[in-house]
Amino acid sequence: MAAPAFIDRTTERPTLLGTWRAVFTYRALLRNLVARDLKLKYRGSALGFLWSLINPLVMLAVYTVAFTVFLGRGGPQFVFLLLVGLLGWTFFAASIAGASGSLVDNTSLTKSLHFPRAILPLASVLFNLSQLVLTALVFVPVLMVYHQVTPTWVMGLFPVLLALQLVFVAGVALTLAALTAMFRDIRHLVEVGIGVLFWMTPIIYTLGDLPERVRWAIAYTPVSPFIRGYQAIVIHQTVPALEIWLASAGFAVVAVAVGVRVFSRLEPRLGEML
Amino acid sequence: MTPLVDARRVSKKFLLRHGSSAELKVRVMDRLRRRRTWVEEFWALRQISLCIGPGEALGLVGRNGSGKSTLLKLIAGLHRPTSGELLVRRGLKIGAMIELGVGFHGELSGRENVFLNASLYGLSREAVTGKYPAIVAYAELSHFMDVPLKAYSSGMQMRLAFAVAATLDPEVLLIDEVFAVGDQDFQIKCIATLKQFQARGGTLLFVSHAPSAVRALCDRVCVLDRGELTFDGATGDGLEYYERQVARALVTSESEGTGSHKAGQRAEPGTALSDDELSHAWHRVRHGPAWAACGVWMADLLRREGVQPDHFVLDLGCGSLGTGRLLLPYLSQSRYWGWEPDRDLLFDGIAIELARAGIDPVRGHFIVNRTFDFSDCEHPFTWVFASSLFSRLPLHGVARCLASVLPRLTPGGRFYATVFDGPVTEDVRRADGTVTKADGEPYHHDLGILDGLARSLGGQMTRVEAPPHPRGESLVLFTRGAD
Repeated sequence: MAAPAFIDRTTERPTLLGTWRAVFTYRALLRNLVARDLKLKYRGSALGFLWSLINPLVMLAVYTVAFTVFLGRGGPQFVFLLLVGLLGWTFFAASIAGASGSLVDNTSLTKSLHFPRAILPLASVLFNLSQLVLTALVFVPVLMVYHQVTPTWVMGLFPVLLALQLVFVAGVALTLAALTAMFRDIRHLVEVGIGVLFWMTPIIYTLGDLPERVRWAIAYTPVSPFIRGYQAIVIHQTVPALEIWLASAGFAVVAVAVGVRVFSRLEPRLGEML
Repeated sequence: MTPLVDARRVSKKFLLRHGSSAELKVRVMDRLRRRRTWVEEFWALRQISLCIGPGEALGLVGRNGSGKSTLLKLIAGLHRPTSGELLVRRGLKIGAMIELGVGFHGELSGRENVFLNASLYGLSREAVTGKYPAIVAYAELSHFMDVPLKAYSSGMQMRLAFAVAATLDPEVLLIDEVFAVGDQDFQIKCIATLKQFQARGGTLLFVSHAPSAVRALCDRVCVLDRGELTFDGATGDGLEYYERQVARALVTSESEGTGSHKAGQRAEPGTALSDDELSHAWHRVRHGPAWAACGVWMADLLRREGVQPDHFVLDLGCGSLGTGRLLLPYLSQSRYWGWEPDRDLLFDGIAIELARAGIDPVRGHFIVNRTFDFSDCEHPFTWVFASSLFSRLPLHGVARCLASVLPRLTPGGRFYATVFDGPVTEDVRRADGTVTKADGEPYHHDLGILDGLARSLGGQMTRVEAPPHPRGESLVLFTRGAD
């Protein structure tokens, strides 16, 4: 059957394939938005890129002092565990926070141009991915040398797990961006949610520190499998357990399925909601 | 030839949420308290049908808020039509210049902004790289491309923005008032570019307030008025129609907005209403069940009193023309003047009632304002009548009306008004159950006070015996007094 020669704007519905083809067509936009945010972040500041390193450094220092000095906790590898956890966490948290506002903060774009709206939250995710990669490239080698961890082939699994997390984060980002356009409150809810979820993720503690009965619950909070996986790969140079892979992949698949669905549903109405 | 865009009875409704909010809390609380948020429907476009063929240059003109931009946005796919069909050829390359310089950022250099802006239109990086020299040359900004955009003047930014948009080379170009900024030279250059675009076979849909630009570019003009397509034809005729509409426009309106109407639904003009639908149409319901009877009653009175076709007649508060539709065919050209504070009411009267009766509105003159300003009319009036107007006016409104109208009567001229008679202190329940008030709509007035008002303005008022008024109003006659 030949495709009809006309599209009716009244009944037009974006198909999944059509949407992703459009995102691909507009990949230059995605790239330029990420580049813009990177440039704007460093341009005009004296320390430039160093700020991206100072921020995790200060966080590391604060948590380390609080836990090892004040509370007398934390093992010898505390700083390393913390850093790896924070990298994965910050990617998630910053992406979600940025993506929630990505549509409502860019109404000047969405009101007058017809590009795939999914580009905006995705740009926020990719920007934060670039931050993660840059910071990891500086800190991880330093700490590996300090803790005398010899990299093995297992490090090759790091990008694989990162790819899963990217899919997961993108799914959540799409969902929240679209919902925020509908209810501006979602943004505040996200802020609160991120604060709560941080403490429900094994970043400044390990599962081993927890009482038996809550351990399994914390092990499977949404960001937890990714963090545990990174720690296994980078610090212990071991292949993460099967349950970590299953949970990570499961979260990624569910998040992206929900995200794509919600976003496609709401996209035709975004013009009037923004 | 198959059209590129084919609109069939396209309408677009926006919901204006009054007192609603995008905040979840507010919505939930409203739901819990059973508070109804009042949602007003606003029809930005009503039943638009038009075809755009390849290579056409179509100018869209109309006053502010007439729906021109909405139509562009529907075609561009930014908004979705509420009803009708809007067929756009599959795969049509549409370039929308609805706003220029979208996504421009002051901290980025001109060059960086060009790449970002072009990618917003969907251009690949290679494509922009290829077009970049042409863009810079067109904008005449080669020395400034590495300077942050914040150092540019607004004219320079505009040039850069247009330069990017001009190199898109789509099949259809939608342009919305983008020449508002920019100097004369730049505007000439823009028009030259658009002409080249046309010469290459491009199709143009051009929204503008500037008749000269429309004349220079377009071979066809569509006039939109309050969401309706009122003219579609040759450029010269279309612009003339539009200019006539603006100048005389049926309306010399104070810019008071469109007035709010909560009750009833406005009918969608252009649709044929059945008698039943008509009796429920907003413009009639607003007046009440006696809409038609009141009109007939007043028209009969005037004929009895001896109105001649060449007399100047002023219909005060002409509303949706319940009386006007009966007088207009009787009076000579330009003898009927209608004044009405509620623009929507008058518009529906013209669009629905006059159209139904087959009366050309151009036979009369219509004035919309709230200040009783009749300076457009150079003649005094032999007859003035206010049918149920005073029930919409508080006492000071009546005073203002008299002060403005009495001097405009010919020496023997008569001003008839129907008025609910009632005391200044309390509400009155009428025979049909309506309650008239001294301090709220529907107003009643103390006839003694009205007489006093007329006297203080040098005139006088007398009560006139007449057949029973359909709403039970009394009839009074104002004259200029003994001169």
